[in-house]
Order: sequence, then structure tokens, then C-alpha cells
Amino acid sequence: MKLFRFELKKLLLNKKTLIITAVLFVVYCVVGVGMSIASFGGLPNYSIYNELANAVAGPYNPEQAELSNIAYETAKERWGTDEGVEKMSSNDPQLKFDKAYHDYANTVEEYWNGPLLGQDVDNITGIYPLQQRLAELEAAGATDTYDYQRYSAQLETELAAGEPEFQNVALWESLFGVWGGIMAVILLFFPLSFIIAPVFTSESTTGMDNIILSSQKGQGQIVAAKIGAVSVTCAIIALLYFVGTFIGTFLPFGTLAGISLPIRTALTASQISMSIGSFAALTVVWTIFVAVIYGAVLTLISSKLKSQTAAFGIGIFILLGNVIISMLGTTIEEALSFVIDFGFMNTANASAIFGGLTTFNVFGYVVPYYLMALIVLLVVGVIALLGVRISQKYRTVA
Amino acid sequence: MKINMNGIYKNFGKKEVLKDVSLTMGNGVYGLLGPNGAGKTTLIRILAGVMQATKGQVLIDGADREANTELFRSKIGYLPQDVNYYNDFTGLEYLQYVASLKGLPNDKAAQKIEELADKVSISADLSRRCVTYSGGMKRRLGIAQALLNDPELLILDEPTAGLDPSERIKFRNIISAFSKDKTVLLSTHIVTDVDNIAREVVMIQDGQVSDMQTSKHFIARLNGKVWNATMNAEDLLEFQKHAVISNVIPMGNEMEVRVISDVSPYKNAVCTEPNLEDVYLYMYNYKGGKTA
Repeated sequence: MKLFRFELKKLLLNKKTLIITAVLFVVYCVVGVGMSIASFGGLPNYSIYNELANAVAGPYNPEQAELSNIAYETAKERWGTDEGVEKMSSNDPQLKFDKAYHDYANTVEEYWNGPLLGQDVDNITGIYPLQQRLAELEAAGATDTYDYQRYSAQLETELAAGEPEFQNVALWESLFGVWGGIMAVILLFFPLSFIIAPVFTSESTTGMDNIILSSQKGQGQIVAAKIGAVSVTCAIIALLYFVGTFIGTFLPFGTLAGISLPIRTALTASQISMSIGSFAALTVVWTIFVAVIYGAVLTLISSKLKSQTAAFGIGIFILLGNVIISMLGTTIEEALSFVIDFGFMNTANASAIFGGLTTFNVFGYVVPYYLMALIVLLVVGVIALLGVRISQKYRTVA
Repeated sequence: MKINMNGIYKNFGKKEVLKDVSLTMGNGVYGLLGPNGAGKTTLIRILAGVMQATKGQVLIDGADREANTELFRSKIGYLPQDVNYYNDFTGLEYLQYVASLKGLPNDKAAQKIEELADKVSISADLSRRCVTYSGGMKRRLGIAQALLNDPELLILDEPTAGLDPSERIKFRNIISAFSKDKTVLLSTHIVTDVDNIAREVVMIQDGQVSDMQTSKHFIARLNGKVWNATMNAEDLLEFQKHAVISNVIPMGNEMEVRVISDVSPYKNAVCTEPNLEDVYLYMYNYKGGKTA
């Protein structure tokens, strides 16, 4: 415990890192405010949008869908693309509402009939296409196949969730936008890489390796102390990330409207039935878990190197693995799909892990993405811990 | 504690830094003397267990150290040559940290820190961040950390570098008192440190060590090879190109020159008593650096 306290001081509770952490917190708040303003351009706009949305909140309204669709298409003709409409709608609450209802209507359409841009024959979605595919498999006597099992489970999940309803969940949509994907990687995991990278390399550069490695606890307990300090550091920085972005995003909205609504109103799909508030809490817990696992991996890298810069660089390379692989062409991307699916950029995105309908075939069993990700990350974490332990046992000063 | 280093070799790539080094040490202070780059630090690191030998074995009281490294580490204190301290640690926190690494209970750690800080004269500065310490204070802090666990084997790599003369004397006294029933290996190129306290001395050059002998033994080997000569400055400039000179004292227009030579090196040279510094120079500088 004493060693842990000192390791935490070296890693987090020192002047340099505390300043970095304070700066990060301010950046998180500013990014949150920025996301809200980019979305609505100010509180008055949000109030108007809120009134418009509340007036049609509830089940699908075909008349409103028709009106909003006309307004959206007119705007699209004027501004060129969907992104153009999105951008211009930040200062036009009526257009914002029409676009939101238009998108919602598309979600309802996809809920029943599958993707508007055509089905992926290997991953069918939509109630009717699923029912049709299951009927085909039954007719072919293929009810004991993996496809039959997963489509049955998917259909069951979709029917249980029911047709999506329209609600004003703008705050949560903004938050889930910041809390995952490239935003989380840049705002949270990059700084973590910088802070964690020296956990072992600093002992080499200061020469303290000599004293640590020749001491009684310098090969065993020091590893537990460092891993503990890394985990706490990752958890605290991740928590600050969520608190900062939440405060920043919440301030312009000034309301937690939608917190008790089903998560399906904020995400297009979800494998777990829960409220938006519960999903937000799950996102926080999950991301902290991913950050801790990443911290363990970076600790292993740091224990193998003597240069902080090299450890940081490799950490960034691992984080951006998905982007790098996707730049290498379709063939390589398909061959390394497992790395993409379970890379930190994907797993750090709780909305993708828990929000989609992706499943994996594990020895014929249907395993949802979140469960598979949990298992993979736990295995990675255990390997990293063992790796650090072994690395320290054989670590030398030259 | 009895330490045997048997047939130690260490290679860095193709470079052979240690070649078949064997040493035996019991209780007392042992001096490891050699010029920079001779292999002292490498040998020290291997003994401290922070570097692996390419070949060879270290035995502690007859047992292979590798069989119980944790027990071995609990019995050693090590002061490395270069240590940069953590930016945010005070002297006290640093010593507490090392005490934790050495597995000392809180109460014993507090007692030892107080005692050692007093011994090395840093008590008044313990609450200051150690990066603000002077070079000598950092060295004294390093000596204190090495002694925290009352080690049976104390390994000191250039311990007096950066210490002023009074601090060096104080340091020697601490080590002498400490070494009564302990083993101390003191690596240095400051000959007087070893001359005053070492029971036996081993010379190292180009990765090879001499026999371990008392300093008196080494000095005796130089009997009849140390000379005092008097010459003017012009003659000295020419003379020093071919001679090993251990000291020059200006005496008005003349210079009294202490010379190490197998034969009388100058017309008025008078044979004098050798010391360990002369031995060091003789072994490492004589005729282009060949070991005698």
C-alpha cells in the first residue's frame, strides 16, 4: 500500500501531471460546451426545438413525418448534403426539428424494413427481412444453424424493444457523440498515453532502476503498485473526462430531459434494454474499464522500453490501429477485422459495443458484441499484467 | 557474508567488458580501483543483481544467488553511480519510498531514516525536494538510502564523487564503523578513499582484475620504484613526456617531482616511500597504460 501511494504520486499526484489534468478538465468542459453550441447555437434555439419536439413526442406520426420530410428535402436541395443541412440547422430550430423527425422516420422505416441503402446479406436487419429470412431457413430445415439462432435472437430483441418513439434527447445525443469513437481516443486516450508512458521508462532515465531492481520488493510488489497506480490514474482521468464533458454539454441545455426514456430513443439499436440514464452510467463504467485495460497494455510497453517517447508512440499506434488498417486496403481490412472490432478505438465506444446488433459466432453460439469485447479485453488485461510481471523479473539496467 | 564471483564474463554485443573475473570477499571493506571504462560499474551492477552476466556465477555463503534472489536483495544496499531523483519527492519521501522498496515496517523505517539522516547530515533538509539538493547532499542522500535496511553487503559505486573533503572523511568514518561485521565493496578511482579504509584492494583494467591484496601488499610491490627529483620547469616539460609523474611541488625556481619508474629516472632522483596512489598510476599509466 505504501509503494502504491508513492507510485501514485510519481504518476498522478505530482505538480506536472496535476497541471495537465486541470488543463484537460477545462478542455473537456469547453469541448462539451462546443458540442452543444455546434448543435443548437444557444439556449433560445433549444427552447424552440424543445417545444416543437414535445408537441409530437411519442409514437410515429405519419403526417409529421411527411411535413418534416418535405422541409428536409427542400433544405437539402439548398444546402447540398445532409451535413450541410445539419450545419445550417444549428441556428434554425425549426429545421433542426424537421431534420430530427426526418431521421427518426428513417429509423422507423429501417426498424421494419431494414437499411434504406440495401441489406448486407450476411447481416440482415429489420423486422420483415428477419422474419422472411427465418422462414427461408425453416423451410430449408436449417433451424439448428448459427444464422437461425442469431436472427431469432435479433428478431426477439427488436420486437421486445418495439418501434422507436420520437423524443427530445438532444442532450444525450450530443453526449454520446463526445463519449465514444475518435473523440474519446483523442480527448481521453491520447492524454492517458502521455501520462502513463513513463511509468517504467522514467525509472530507466533517472537511474532509479538500479535501486528498485536491487531491492527486496523491486521485482514483485513494485509491479502491483505500479499497475494499481496506473489503474487509478486511468480511472480518475476518465472520470474527469465524463464529468467535464457532461458539465460542458449540460450547461447550454440546462435540462436532463429524456434521462428516463428507453435508450432506443437515443440510439438506433441496442442489445440491452435500459433507460438513457442507465446507459450513460454504463458508458462511464465501460469506458473506465477500457481505459484501465489500455493502461495495463501501455504499462507493459513501458516496462519493455527505456524511452518514454517510444512508449508513447507505440501507444498511439495501437490506438489508431483501426484507422491505419483501414488505410491498407479492403483485403487487409477484412483479414484484420478482429483487430478492428476489438481495437481500442472501437471498444472505447460504448454506443457501438452496446448499441448495435453485432454478434459473433463462438463455436456455434451467438455471443453479443459487448460480451465478446468484455472477454477479449479481460484476456488482454491478464496478458498485459503477466507480461509486466515477467518483464520486471528479467528487467536489467542495460 | 561470504561472496564469491566465479568466472564472470560480460559482453555488450561483440565488446567484452568483463573477462573471467573471479573475486572472493568476506567481512570488511574491499576497494575496487580502476580508471574510467575499466569495467568497475559493470562488475558492481552484476554483483548488485541489476545486470545479468553473460557467463559466470555469484555465490552467497556458498549458495547460488539465483536460487533465492529476493533473500539476497533483502541483504544488500546499493548506491549506484548516477541517480537522478524524482522531481516531486522530498528527501524524506524519497527515503520512505526506498524503505518501502526494501520492505521495512513503518516504525523501523522512521527510526532508520532519522538515524541515517543525522549520520549523513541531511536532517534539516529532509522536507526539501531532493532535486534542489546540492551534488554532495544528493550523494549523502544516496548513501543513506543504501544503508536503510542494515545491509550485510553494501555496494558503493563512486560514493564520494561530488563530496567535499570533510564530507569524504565523514563518509569514510561511516563506512568504517558500518563495516565491522559487514561486507562493503567500494568502487572508485579516488585512491585515498580506498587507501584509508579498505581491507583489501582489487585493481581492474580492460575487464580483467588483479589478485585481491591488501594495499600494503600493493605498495610493497612498488618499493624502489618511486623517486623524488628536482628540476626546472623547462626540463619538466620535456621530462613528463616519457615519465609517470604522480606529483609536482613548486619550490621557487625548481620543481620537486614525484616520479614512478623501475630505474632512477633523473640525475638527482632519490628513492622514496610509495603509496597506493603511486601503485594506481604505475598500474594504469606506466608506459602507455600496460598493467605491471
